[in-house]
Amino acid sequence: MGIFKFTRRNFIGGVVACVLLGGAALLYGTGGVSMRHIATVMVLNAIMVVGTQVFVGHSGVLSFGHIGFVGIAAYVTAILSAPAAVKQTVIPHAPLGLASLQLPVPLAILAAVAVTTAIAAIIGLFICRMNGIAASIVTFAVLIVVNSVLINWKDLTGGAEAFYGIPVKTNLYWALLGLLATVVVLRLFTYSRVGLRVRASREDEVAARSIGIGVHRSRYVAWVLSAMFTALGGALFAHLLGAIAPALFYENLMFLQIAMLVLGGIFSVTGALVGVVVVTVISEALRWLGDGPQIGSLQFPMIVGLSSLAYGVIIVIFMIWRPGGLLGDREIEEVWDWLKRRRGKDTVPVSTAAAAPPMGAVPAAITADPPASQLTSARRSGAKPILVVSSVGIHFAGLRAVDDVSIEVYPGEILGLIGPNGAGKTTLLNLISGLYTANSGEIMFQGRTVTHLAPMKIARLGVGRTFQTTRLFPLLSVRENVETASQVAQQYRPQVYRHVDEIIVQFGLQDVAQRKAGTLPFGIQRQVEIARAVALGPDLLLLDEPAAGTNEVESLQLIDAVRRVRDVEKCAILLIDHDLPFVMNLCEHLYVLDAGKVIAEGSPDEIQADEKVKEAYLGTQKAAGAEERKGGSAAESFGQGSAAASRSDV
Amino acid sequence: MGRPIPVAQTGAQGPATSAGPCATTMLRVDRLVTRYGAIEAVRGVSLTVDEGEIVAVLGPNGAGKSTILASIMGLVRPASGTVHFLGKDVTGMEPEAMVRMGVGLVPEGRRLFKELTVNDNLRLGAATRKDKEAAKNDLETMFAMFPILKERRNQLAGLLSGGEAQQLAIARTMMTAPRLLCLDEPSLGLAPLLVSAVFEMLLDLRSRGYTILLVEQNALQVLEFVDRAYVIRSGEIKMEASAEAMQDEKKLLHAYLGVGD
Amino acid sequence: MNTLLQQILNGLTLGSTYALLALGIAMVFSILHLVNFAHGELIALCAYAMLGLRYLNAPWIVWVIGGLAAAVVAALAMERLAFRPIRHASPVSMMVASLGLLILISFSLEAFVSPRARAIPQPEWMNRVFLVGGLQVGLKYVLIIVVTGLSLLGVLLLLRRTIIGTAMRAAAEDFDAVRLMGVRADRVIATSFALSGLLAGIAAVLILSIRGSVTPHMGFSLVLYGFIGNVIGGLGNLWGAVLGGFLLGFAETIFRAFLPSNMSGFTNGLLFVIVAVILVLRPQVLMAPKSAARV
Repeated sequence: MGIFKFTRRNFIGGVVACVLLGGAALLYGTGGVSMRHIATVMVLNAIMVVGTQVFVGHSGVLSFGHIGFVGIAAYVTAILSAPAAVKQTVIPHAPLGLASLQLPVPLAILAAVAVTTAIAAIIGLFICRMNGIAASIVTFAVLIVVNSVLINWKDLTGGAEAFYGIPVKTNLYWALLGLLATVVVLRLFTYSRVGLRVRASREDEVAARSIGIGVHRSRYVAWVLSAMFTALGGALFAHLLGAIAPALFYENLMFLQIAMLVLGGIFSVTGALVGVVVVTVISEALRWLGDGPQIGSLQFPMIVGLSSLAYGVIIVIFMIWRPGGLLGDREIEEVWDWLKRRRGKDTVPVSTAAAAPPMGAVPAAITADPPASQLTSARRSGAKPILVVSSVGIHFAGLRAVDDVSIEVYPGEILGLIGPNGAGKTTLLNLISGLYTANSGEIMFQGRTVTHLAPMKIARLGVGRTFQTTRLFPLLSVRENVETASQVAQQYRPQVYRHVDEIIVQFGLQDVAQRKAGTLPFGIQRQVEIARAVALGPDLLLLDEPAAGTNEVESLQLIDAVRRVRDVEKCAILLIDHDLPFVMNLCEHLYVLDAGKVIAEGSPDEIQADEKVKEAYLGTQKAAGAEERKGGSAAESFGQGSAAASRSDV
Repeated sequence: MGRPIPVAQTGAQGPATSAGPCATTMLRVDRLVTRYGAIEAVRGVSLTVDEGEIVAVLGPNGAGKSTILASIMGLVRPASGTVHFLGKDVTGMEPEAMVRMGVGLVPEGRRLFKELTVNDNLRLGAATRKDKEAAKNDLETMFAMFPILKERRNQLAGLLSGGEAQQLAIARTMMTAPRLLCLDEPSLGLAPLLVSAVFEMLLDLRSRGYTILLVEQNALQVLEFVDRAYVIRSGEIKMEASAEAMQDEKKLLHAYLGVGD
Repeated sequence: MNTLLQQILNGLTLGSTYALLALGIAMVFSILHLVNFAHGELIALCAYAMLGLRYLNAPWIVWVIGGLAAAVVAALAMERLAFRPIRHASPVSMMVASLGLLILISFSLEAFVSPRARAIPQPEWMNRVFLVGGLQVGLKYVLIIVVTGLSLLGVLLLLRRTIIGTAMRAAAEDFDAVRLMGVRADRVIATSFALSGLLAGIAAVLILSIRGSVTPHMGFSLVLYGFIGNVIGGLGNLWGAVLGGFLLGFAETIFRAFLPSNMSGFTNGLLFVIVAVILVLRPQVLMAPKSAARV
């Protein structure tokens, strides 16, 4: 299913992180019962925070609702496992005869996780369709509603007062085992196919859709998984405390866990663990200080809530100073890599990246295919077009951005779309790739009607694209960027699937494959974006201003590169650009748009000679009314009379 | 700057010829380099505008024209190069400061405040002027120059038609009492007749003492109204000449499109 | 009939305070797209300032002025110290930072003033009650409604008639274009914070006249209500927020009056379910217009 992926590296990384934290906890726990309690709470917090981080860090959506799941799980396991005698006192009127039921603890914990996951699964259906702040606020609503229910459904939960008598079974070792399971499983998720998709969607949703990723579905998986493990933490928590109350699962816990996430780093599991440890240490230190200890001759006053105060300080300071947290998005393996680099063992200097062979270098393994001219004659030979846009129109707020446009793209040809500013070229591209939906007309790709299809579906049919401003997944490595697309190909069009490493080699990106895409120079980023689109195995490739920002030398190289891509992939290419020498040299056929309409079509030579095209770019010589300029004022030209402009009493 | 709009020069009809050797250089841009994301949108552009001139920067879309104006105005920081206004180095100064220095920008797409009335839009232009009397006078002048705005003074700016909106955009910037008026594609979205009217209005402004720098795609129409022009393509200046010299279409097309006939 | 009128009065009173709360939050959101969780802390700070002044035996009018001043100063400080450095950050980051401020301020009050509730006895004249056509009308309730009305009117006049108000309305639409008018970005933002602080202060005075005591965490529940009012009315829409606040006040009054007593505790939860539903159905309530303040 692609939800978990085992690699030695990330498995070991997870284990090592746990061992480190566990070691610290065990060490601390040797100091006596109360210290062991603190250590155990810390480990349980770690489970809950890592659980939350899987969703928050991967989706980029802050969630307050996970504390609610903690509360639900805690209460479910409490209600199910508390002895009947206790329940008769605390919740005598419990529904479903729960007051007389007592399940063994493991079963109760299992039930707690199951029930919470089920509830989360339902809520997630809505949340995963929403974006950013709206989703966060709904999760906040979840927290409040859960709290409200816990307090007010007295028959079930015993209300605002403590629900006591829960069997105390959690000790440090069980907690550590739970943590190990959580970290390992969730790390396996992070690098799995679905995990990769969620992370890609976090980086750039539009780009993710353009390579066929189902953003909502992937996010949903992350949500459910995170609820599952947060629930585990909550259930274990109940069995540590022995008594719980709704107030435990409200703002205080939320503040604590957000401080932990913010400090350590939202984007990595290791970061979450670091955050848990550091905040626990600070918290304990401040609690000790707030109790009014005597140090030497200094008597500190008693201060309530000092450690909670610290959470606020931590959050504010880190948001201003290091919003990525101490670790940012780095996992523990990367610390290892960094150490290796410091000792000079790694060899990825920037200069080799710049010297990478020109894009699209054809590797020896792939033999040259029939020369391009054979393919481009598809238009002339009467073959069927691969893309047919018929009378397509779209308007935004009354403005007709694209007006009754019809174009055809033939297999294997390189086709250009040119025109002045505001002509509708990018709009047309967006219509074809599904980002916009046409108000009128029809778009057919390989015989299928795609006019109203969502971008991700169109991508899955074999349409790849690049964007005007390069949209990579900056925090993902180059390899991961390309892999997201090749995995989509593998899943939906296995006949064109090529392994990601093959594509990396094809584009000469071996040396930068492990680097985060956002750190690369712009030219390489553009190569990566094209490689990613090509990894989809598209039959039609849409390029939006590929030559933007290139100088004359680079644009010549680009012409070669684009031709090579077409030759190797045997796809049709539709591109927009303003660099007319580039377009005229590269494209075999052109459409010219102006003010949303097609005003000319033909070969480059034909287009260059076309009067209408010249007019579109340069404007007309004399517009009506230009003759009168010698006499009148501007206001008169607007037909409003009164030569007020030449009044001198101003 | 609270300088009132100067009295119209009597007898001034038609475009003045290029300012003589004693004219002050109002704006000087030297080897400006600006990046837009990771793209170098402006690569070493140098240009000057003398007092009393109307200068155009022409070129196809994506050439970097808007970025030049944005760099001058401080909306975006140049990577290198300098901008001098009236002799002072204003490179990278914030837009608010540039306005106070006397540079006004009518941005691309106008960016009117649609939820505010025409009157409010205009008043906002004068928001930071110290001389309230002068500002009031200027408001009256604007209404005199653009009677349709006076008629619609209490209507929401979002309800204006294209031509009216362009008038409001220009009037609003005029209310900031600029000495140098920059316009970013004022003809965008306007019918040809209105485009001429806009350019004529600029001539009128010049006759009142304003210096104008405008960025346009619509080359041939513009060339009749300006003194000098630069053609920019791919971030670099490809041609610089007086308006008459530029009307040789072949050369212009070559500079513009990079392709000859 | 009497009960109905009484409930209407209650709803109006409660709604007034929520409307002020919601407006204060909307004021900042409309320009900066910042969901300011710490807005409730401005109310708490005002209340505690009043507590301090009362402790010094100052007359009522001095407390009130001192409290309002405290709220405005706190708001400006918040903007300058906490939000300005992260003005370019994502809305989520700003929201988290505001949460941090909430924690910091409320626990500071708990740690350094008192964790327990402290009473602030209100002046005697506030407790007067009139009899109007068989209805018991407390002076303080009338006062709340009148003060709220005047405040809203004041804000309206400020926004429509003054230049800075016009600039604020314009900034909510297109921040960069306002800068092109020479209006300084910092000034617009600071003014909107100051105004939100003032509104929070007024709300604090009114709320205190009913509650009579302050607690360190009073800000948290209040900001939640202000928030609900905003979502109902459309975040960033100033008058929508006001309307939302009033609707919320009425909704809460009706729930409390007509829900069976064992369910009335669910009011909070119920209101948030409504918020969630609204957001699920219409998430564009939170959509930023084209040009958010990216200074």
